[in-house]
Amino acid sequence: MKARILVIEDEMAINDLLCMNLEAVGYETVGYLDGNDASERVAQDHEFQCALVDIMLPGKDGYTLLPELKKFGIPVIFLTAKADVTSKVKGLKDGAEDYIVKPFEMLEVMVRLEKVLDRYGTAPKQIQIDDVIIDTVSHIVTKNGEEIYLKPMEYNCLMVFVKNPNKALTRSQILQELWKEEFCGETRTVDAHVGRIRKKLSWQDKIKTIPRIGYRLEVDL
Amino acid sequence: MKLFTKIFLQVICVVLLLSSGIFFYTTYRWKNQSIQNINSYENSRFQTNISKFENMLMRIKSKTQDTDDKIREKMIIYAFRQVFHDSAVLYQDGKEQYNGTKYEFDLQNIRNLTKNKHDGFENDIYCDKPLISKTNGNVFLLFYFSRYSSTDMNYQIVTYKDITGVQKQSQTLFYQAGGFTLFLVLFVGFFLFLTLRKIMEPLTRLKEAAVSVANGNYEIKVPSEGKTELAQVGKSFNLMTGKVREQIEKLSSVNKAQRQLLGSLAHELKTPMTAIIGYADTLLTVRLSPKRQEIALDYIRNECRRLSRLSVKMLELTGLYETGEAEFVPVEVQMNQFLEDVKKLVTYRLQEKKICLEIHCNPEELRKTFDPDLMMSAVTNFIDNAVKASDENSKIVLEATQNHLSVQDYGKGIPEEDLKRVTEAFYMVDKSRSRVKGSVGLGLALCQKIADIHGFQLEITSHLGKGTIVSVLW
Repeated sequence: MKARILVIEDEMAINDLLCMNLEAVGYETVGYLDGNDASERVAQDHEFQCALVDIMLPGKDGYTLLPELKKFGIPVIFLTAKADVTSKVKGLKDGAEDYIVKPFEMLEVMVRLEKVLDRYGTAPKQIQIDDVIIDTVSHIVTKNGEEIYLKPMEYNCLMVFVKNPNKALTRSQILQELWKEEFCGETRTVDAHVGRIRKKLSWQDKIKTIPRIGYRLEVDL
Repeated sequence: MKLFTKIFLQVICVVLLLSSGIFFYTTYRWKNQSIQNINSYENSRFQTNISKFENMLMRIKSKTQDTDDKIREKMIIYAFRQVFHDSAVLYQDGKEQYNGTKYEFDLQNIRNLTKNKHDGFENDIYCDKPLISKTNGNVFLLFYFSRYSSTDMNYQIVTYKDITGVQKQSQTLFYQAGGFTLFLVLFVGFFLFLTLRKIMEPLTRLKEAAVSVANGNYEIKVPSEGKTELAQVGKSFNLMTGKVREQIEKLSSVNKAQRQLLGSLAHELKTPMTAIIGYADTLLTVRLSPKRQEIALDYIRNECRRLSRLSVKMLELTGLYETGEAEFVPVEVQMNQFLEDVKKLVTYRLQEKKICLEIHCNPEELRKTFDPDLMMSAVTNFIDNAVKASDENSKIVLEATQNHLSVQDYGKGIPEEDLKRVTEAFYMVDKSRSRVKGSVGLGLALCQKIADIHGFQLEITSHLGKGTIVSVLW
C-alpha cells in the first residue's frame, strides 16, 4: 500500500513540486492551496499517513490546522518560510512532528518524512521491486524466492536506493545516509557497494549511473 | 585650553616686563635724583663753609704773624671746628690734623678717586660729582677739598654726608616696586583669567557641542544670544546641527523604508527561489514523465518571469524612494485629456474581461497640477487592480473632480481587515490567486509613494462583494 501524503501549501509551484517529488518516489499525494478548503476536505477524507503543512495560509493557518489534523491521527510536518525560533518552538510544542524551513532541499523533506513514517510505524514492512522482496524487519532480501546474502553495508546502501526510487543520488549523499554524518573519505567506496548490489541482484539495468551526479534506482511505480 | 594658555601667558609676560621696567627705572631715577639733590645742597654748604674757613684762616694769619706754630695750629683747628662742627676731617700736608667725625677716611684713596675725576688738577680740587663710599655698612657721600699753595700752608678737608637712609629708602622702594609688580601681575592675571574664561566659555561649549554632535546627539544647542562673533558662530552652529538633524532624519526614514522593503523583498524572493531550485533539482535527479517534465519547466519559467517582474517593480519603487522629489516634474494638466489618455492605455486590459470604462470629468475644463507620467502610472495601476477584482462584462468608473480622482469598480471588494495593509509592499489579499494572475504585490505601494510625492492622499473604501473605490484626494 502506498503511503498517502497531504500537502497543504498556498504556493502553487511549491505545492506541485512537493507532489511531483513525492509521487516520483512512490507516495500518493493530495494537495490543497487553501486552509479552509483543506480543513473541510480532510474532515471527509482523512486516510493520510502524514501531512506537509505551510504555516502562512489563506483561510485557516497552519497552527489552526494542526489540532484538526492530529484529531484524525495525521502527523504533521511544518514547511514554512518562518525561520525564527519562536515560530519553530510554537510549531513543535503544539505537536508538529518536524519543522522544515524554506528554502528546503527535496531530499531533506524526503528523509524527514520517512523518519516520521518510521516513527508512526506506517513504513512498509516489506518492499517489493519486481522480483526482489526486501523484508525491512528481518533484513532479508529474496529474489524469486531465493535468499540473497547482502553484507550490512550493502543492505543499507540498497535501502537508501529503495527509499528514494527514481531519484538520482550523489555519491556524497549516499555516503552521508550510510554513515549518518559528514563523511570525508573517498566517495568511490560507494561504487564498490553499488557494483556488488548490482551483481548480487542482477540489477545492472535497474541502478543506472547518472553522469556527473551519481546513481538512480529506476522503478516503474 | 591651548589658546587660553597662550593669551594668558603672553599678557602676563607683557605686564610683568612693562611694570617691572617702569617701576625699576623710576626707582633708580628717584634714587639718583635724591643723591644729586643732597650732593648739590651739601656741596654749596661745603663751599660756603670753605670760604668761611678761608676767611678765618686769613684773619688768623694776619693776627698771628709771629706767634708760635702750635698756637696757630690750635687756632686753625678751632676755626675749623667753628665752621665744620665735627663733621669734617682736616688734613695738613697729607697728615690728619683734626678728625671730628667718628670715622676714619683714607685720604690717599679719596685723592685718587678725585684725581680720576679731575684729570691732573692738583690745585684747588673741588669735586661736584657725587663721590660715594661705603664704610662699615654705611654709605657716605664724600666731599673733598684740597688747597696747595707754595706760599702758604697746604691743607685738605674731607667731609661726608651719611646717605645710608637714602640708600635704604631706595632699596625699600625697590622691594616695594617688586612687590607691587608681583601684585599687579597677580591682579591682572586673576582678571585676565576670569575674562578669558568668560570669553572662552562659548568656545569650550562649542567644542563640547561639536563632539556630542559627532557622537550623534543632534539635539544639543549652543548659546547664541548677543552680537559678538562667537554668538554668531554659535548661531551658525545651531543652524548647522538643525540642518544635519533634518538630513539625518530624512535619510534614516528613507533607510528604514528601504530596509523594510529589502526585508520583504528577501522574503518574497524565497518562494520563487525554492520553487526554481526545487524544480531544477527534480528535473536533474528524478525520472519524470515528459508531461511532468514540461510542467516543471513551465513552473521554472513562470517563477523566473515573476522574479523579473518583481525586479522591474522594485527598481521603479526604489527609484521613487531614491530620487524622491528630484525627478518629480509637476505641470498643469487638462484633466479630460488626461483621462482619455488613460483610457487608451488600458483598453487592451479592459477588453480581456469585456469591461466598460466610464469617464467623468467634472467640471469639463478641470485643470490640475501634477507629474503626468507618475500619475498615469498610478491610475493605470488602480484600473489594473479594478480589472482583476471585477467579473466579466462589469464596468469601472474613472472620475475626476475638484477634490479627487477616483477609480470605482463593482468587483469582489477587499475584506476590512486587509484594507489597512493593502498599500504595504508585497501585501496581497489573496496570495495564491494573485500570484497566478501575475501580481507581485507592489502596485498599491507604488501608488502610495506617488501620492506621497505629490502630497496627495490615497483613500480606499471597499464593501465586500460590492466593489472598491480608490481615490486620490488632491
